[in-house]
Amino acid sequence: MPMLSFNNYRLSEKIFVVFVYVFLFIFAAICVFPFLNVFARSFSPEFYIQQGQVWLWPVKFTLNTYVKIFQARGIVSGFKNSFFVAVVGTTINLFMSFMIAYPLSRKRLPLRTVFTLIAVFTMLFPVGIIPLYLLVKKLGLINSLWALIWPYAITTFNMIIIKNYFQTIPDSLEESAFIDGAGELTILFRIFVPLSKPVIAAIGLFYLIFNWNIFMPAVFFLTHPSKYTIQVVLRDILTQHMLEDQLPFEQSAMMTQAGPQGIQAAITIVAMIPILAIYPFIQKYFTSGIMIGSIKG
Amino acid sequence: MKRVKILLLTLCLFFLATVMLSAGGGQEMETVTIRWMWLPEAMGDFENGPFVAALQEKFPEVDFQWEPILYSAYKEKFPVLMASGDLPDIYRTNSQSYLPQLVDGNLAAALDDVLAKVGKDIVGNARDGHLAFGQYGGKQYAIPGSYSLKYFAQNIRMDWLDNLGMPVPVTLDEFRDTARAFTFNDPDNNGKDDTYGTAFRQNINFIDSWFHAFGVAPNHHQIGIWRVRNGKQTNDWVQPQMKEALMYLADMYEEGVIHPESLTFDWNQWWGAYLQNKIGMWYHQPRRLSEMNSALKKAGVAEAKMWPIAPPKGPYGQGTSDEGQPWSVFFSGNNLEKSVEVYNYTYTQEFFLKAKGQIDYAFAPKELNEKGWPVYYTYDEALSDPNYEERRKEVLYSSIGTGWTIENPNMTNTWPDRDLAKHVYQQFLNTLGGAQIEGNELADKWAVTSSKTVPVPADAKYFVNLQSMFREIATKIVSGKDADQVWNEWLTFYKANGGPEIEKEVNELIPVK
Amino acid sequence: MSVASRWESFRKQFIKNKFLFFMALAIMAWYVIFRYIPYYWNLIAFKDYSYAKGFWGSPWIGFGNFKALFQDPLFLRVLRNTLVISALKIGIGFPFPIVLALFLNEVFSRAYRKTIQTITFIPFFISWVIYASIMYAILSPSIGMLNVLIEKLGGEGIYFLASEAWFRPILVASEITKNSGYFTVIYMAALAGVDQESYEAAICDGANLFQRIWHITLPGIASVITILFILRLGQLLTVGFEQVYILYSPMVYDVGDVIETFNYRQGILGGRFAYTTAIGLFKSAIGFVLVLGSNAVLKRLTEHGLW
Repeated sequence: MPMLSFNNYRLSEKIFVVFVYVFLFIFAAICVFPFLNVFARSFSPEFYIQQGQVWLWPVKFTLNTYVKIFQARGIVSGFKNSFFVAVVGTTINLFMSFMIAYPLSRKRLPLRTVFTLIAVFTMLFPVGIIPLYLLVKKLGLINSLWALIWPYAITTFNMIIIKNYFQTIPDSLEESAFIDGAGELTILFRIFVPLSKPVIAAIGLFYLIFNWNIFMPAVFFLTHPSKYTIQVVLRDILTQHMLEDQLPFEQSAMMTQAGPQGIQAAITIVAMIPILAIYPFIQKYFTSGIMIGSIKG
Repeated sequence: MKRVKILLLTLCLFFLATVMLSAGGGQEMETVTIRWMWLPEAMGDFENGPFVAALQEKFPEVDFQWEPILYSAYKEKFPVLMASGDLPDIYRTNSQSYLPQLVDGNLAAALDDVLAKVGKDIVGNARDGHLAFGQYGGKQYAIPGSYSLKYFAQNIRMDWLDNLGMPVPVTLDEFRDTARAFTFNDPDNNGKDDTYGTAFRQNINFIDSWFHAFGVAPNHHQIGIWRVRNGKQTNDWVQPQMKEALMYLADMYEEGVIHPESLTFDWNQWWGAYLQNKIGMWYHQPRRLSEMNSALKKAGVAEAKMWPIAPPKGPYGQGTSDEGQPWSVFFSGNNLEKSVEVYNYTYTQEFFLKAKGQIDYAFAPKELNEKGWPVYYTYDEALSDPNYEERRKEVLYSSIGTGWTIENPNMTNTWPDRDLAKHVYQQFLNTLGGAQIEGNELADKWAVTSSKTVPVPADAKYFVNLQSMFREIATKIVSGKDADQVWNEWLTFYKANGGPEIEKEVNELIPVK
Repeated sequence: MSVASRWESFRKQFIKNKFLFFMALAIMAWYVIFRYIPYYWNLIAFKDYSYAKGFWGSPWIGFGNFKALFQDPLFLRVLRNTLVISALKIGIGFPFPIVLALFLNEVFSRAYRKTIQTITFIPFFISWVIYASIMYAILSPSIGMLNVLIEKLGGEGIYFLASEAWFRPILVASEITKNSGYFTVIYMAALAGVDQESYEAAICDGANLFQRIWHITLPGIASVITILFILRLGQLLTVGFEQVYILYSPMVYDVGDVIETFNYRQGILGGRFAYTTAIGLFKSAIGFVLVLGSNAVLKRLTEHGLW
């Protein structure tokens, strides 16, 4: 947040600020155009997409693509399963991450370096799908949604961010809590966690997105269609459509018929919807420096 | 704090509970659990269809665990299942890729004894010569599907030929001239310069007919073709004629008679180009001609007529590629006899009637006649009946792929009711329309079969790289890079990366007669 | 310190922080179960693995697979491609979100800042598979948005995906647009933690905007930058499988085939698991060395590090 008002800026600084505004605008535009394009395609008949006429706004608006998707089998169960993984999974993610980030952030933890290395090491050595499959099978989690949660309970990268954040919290808070007779868990959940709202928001969102977008593990670990998550179902709809009706549009229906490109676009949007819906609520936590400011004061 | 400790404890217990509960569901002593994997092209409500109902009725003691793998995920999931030794009791896979490994890894059971015991319908109704595809080291390990492997034909827009007043091309040169005319002479009379002679379908896919004119071919999905030359089994990939063929195509590409973007076309774009009335020659299954033509007609191209013809006759040959090997069903060996018994049942007359003919997802029965026999949509009905699509999807969703098909002339050999047998085959014939009948004949006539139909041990180490590199150099040459240099690099690579080893093993395994 | 006194101080520390220790231990159990136990599979990199013999039956061949790797011209090619693309991605893609965050920090209008931040964050939501598919559609020669734009402006359409010249820039550019929003969020959170008083003091001292950014803002988030840099460096040989896989084709293998796509074809499609595991270990080993090395160097230089 700029400290002075614009009028107080020197000339070079003013030019800089203008440049900043323009740069940000262009970059944001580049970021958003593909999505406007996808959005537009999802509401346009195939004919116009194929003609290259669809840009940032639907041409001859139609809901047929979405109709086709929601008519498909497995959509409802797909959403249910994905919600389960997203909500339960993210909760477990955050819980586990906090539970390890806190000890690792304390210099007084015995074997601190060892533990940190153990965790960080796993970032560099990914676990193979075959041994993971065997492990999941041994634990009896094949065809269970828990197979999408437990093996991915901690993303060390996110945990490191939390740990680092904890390290910026002044020791004085911890010390006074100890003096008041508080235990470790009290400190963690009554002091650190409430102070970490921006981090919870950010990391929680990262985990949420990760959980929502899980695809390959779902393919490998889920065997019955009733357990498929929405990403798997949507991918199936897409390939289905690719094999079945390839643009058999009638002269009269040409103006409204949905086709593979449009459906793919609609699938993209549908896959994103829940996350996009949540984002505005969480967003306020990112940009508030107020929470953090209160610590310093 | 006590609360948090309790919370922690609960979470741990919860974790343990889920693990224990999900580990192995309660099994009763009497039932047999059979895990069945197949590769549906679309996910549907199969559990409530007549196929599954008929099975369950016949085998009440069997608890079927269905484990479909979406075709789109198959290439990734199957190797993992193999490597983890966790294959279902009945599973479908591509034996061309995996047969030796499955046998060596004890993942596929030998079937000779059990087939003799409970598989008489499977054996009796097999398509001529097909069982051999599932054999290895003298034993039967897989039940190959019975669909015809010779199903690619060269197709061409007859209406465009008419518009241009040109005859059907026969020789390679004539095909070339036709391609030029299709590209530059506005064959669809729409006043726009938007048509092309032919197209690839990603890399050099789906254009094999032009290769065969040079006596070589990449083969279906570039798995390679082996032929006898000078008394030895040789690989088409490294023949000088292959270089010639690629350079010829490069010439065509540069001329502009091949759709320039088709080198990166995916399925949708490829079909789309044809359905948008842009391309005149098509290498594909005659089965899909009715779809193509009806779509074009509906889109306003009233005279559209994509029709099969003989492939181009070139300086070194003529032909189309076949599929090489059918998809097959394997058995892991778990509950072997019961699994084969169940599977065998799907080849019987009783099952056919109970499942109301909804077995083969390629053919949709319209209804049952007064005798209770399934009547399939005829060719014309499929084109005109508004319910056809719905019904076809119903069959697609409700059937489990077994490889049994009404297309197979032998499919009813073991059925007692010979009238029914005649009826079923007639139903199949009714589904064929003009284009398909001609196309099937042409495909049958011109299909070139590789002499190598199973992998050899050296393939496990080298094949993927060779295939990948072949695709690379082929697209490089076709898109205009220095053919001599690229081809020489290819030959060097081939020699250094297992080419000779594979050749040696092929010649040992498949001696020249 | 002697061993005895070391042990003594450890004991003291342990007794004082028993609970904390067991907390960490409990979660470490997760690491052991879900990460370290499956690591045994990596041993097949030292075996001549085949389905037939399985894990226990396959014979040991020491570094045989690794030797084969470095003699394989195809592997060397993808190694080269990976290094080049990764260097581009780090060189351009790492500073970019930092610059973005610094810029956002200088925006006066809260609404503008929030809007830009929200918008740039959107690409992060979706999986690479879908994003790459979008890229694929946009870059399509005839009907893709980009080429339509070019043609409208009077130019000639470019066959991007088949072009060796364009492929790497496309990979880098699409990653920047996809991921920058994510890192910007992290940096923004860190920026909010920079002491406001330092700014006030600097202004009193007459520092201009650029000096304030250079001397206060950047050092203020130096610890975060360092950590993210070290972690990113550890991923040097990881380019991003889905992105390349969806966009590449044999025509651009020479510049675009990377270790992960190579691994995919060899491993999943080709079944050469020992080979691909060896590649995976090689990647990880390099990453490990890089992380340790850069952490040591940066700690010495700046006193910030990963631990």
